[in-house]
Amino acid sequence: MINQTIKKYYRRTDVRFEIVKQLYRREFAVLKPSYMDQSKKNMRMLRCHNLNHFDYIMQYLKFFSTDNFYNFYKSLATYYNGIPIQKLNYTERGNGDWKQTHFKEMGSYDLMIDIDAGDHNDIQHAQYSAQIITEFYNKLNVPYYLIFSGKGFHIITPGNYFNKSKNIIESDNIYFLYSAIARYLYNNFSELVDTGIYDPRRLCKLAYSLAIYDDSVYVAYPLNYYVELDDFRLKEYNLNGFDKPVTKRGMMLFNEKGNVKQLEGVVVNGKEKV
Amino acid sequence: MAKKRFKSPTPEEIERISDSIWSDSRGRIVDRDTYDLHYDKWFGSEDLSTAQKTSMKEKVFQDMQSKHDGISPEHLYKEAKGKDLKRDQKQTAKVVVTDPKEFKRRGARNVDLEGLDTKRVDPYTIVGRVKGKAVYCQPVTIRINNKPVERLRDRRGRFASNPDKMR
Repeated sequence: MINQTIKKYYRRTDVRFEIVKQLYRREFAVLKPSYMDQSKKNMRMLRCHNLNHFDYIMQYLKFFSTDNFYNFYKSLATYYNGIPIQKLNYTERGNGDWKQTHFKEMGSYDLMIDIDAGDHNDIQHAQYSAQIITEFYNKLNVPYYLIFSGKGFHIITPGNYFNKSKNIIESDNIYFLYSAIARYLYNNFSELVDTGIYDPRRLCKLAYSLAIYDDSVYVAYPLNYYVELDDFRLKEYNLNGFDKPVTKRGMMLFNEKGNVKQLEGVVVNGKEKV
Repeated sequence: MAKKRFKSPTPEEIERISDSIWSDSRGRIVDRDTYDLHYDKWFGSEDLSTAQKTSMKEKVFQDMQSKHDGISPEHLYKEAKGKDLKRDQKQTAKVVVTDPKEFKRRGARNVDLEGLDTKRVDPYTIVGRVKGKAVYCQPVTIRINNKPVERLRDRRGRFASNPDKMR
């Protein structure tokens, strides 16, 4: 029953369109849910810039013809030319060189604050953590997207607001800064913030995709209004009975005209100028 | 090209191999399985026949057994056949010592016949709130007015608010 619901959800044009919209110049990855047999291959380095790409990948994965389900992810990094055009067959791929030098093609790298509840019963604490962190962001006028990830929340600041090197070999790179920001939030706001996720090829869950768990399926839904976070109820995001709008909804960038100077100042210099 | 004839190792060589394996294991060899594990680490890929391997392995083991007390000839770690001791430890552990001081006091080693191991479980699993910060806590029993009461404490020992009462 739930398998049919998952397939039905991904057949919706508005869902597919919202998913594809986020993947432009980003890496698309399909990973098995953690409870499933991991012997099946996960696939990374997928290029998905339009609906045709998406449908082709779904067809290759036999997503609709079998019950092999995947969680969908996108890279935090954007690339000038996107992921190289290539075949889906692993044996015919050769991405070794690209992986070595991909930071040269990196346009931006988003800051993701991952608030992970660990268990669905603790979701209220994740909600509370998201509330106090977004309050802090609003105070500092930091732009961000807010997304429910299935078992927690993602607070994503677009990478084009930061101006640092993406080369991991250089000493003053963007990953150190992000890690410092996460540690600051961990120390001052919530221990649910994950501090060990800052490396060049990190993925995050696609908004409007499904977070599949062994006993339930949730929709990773972007929260575009503060009310949605304040009145958050996990039940409403369960795929069974999901009736929230998707069409032409997109993702809301809070504090769009803001900047990250104050946030950097707080974390690097330890001074809060508000 | 003719294959080189295997020269059986001299007693001095056996002794040398035995000593080096023992020092490499840092004295952790306690039975046949742990011995196999450390022996195969160095000699598992040698190009010898099965009989040659067995005889040399047996000789080295006998030499080691004669030198060091407390090495049992039995297979004590049966489950993983000496390949993965951690797997055996998890299954055979009767007492799990979490406190490092207690671990030291009991004289337990990483591989111990009594099944003691260093497996630590993080007790801070419940989420609470301290001064507006969401923290991981553990439940503790304290006495208020000489009555036992359950409270939450975080890693720093601070009392956290009850998660049931949180919104």
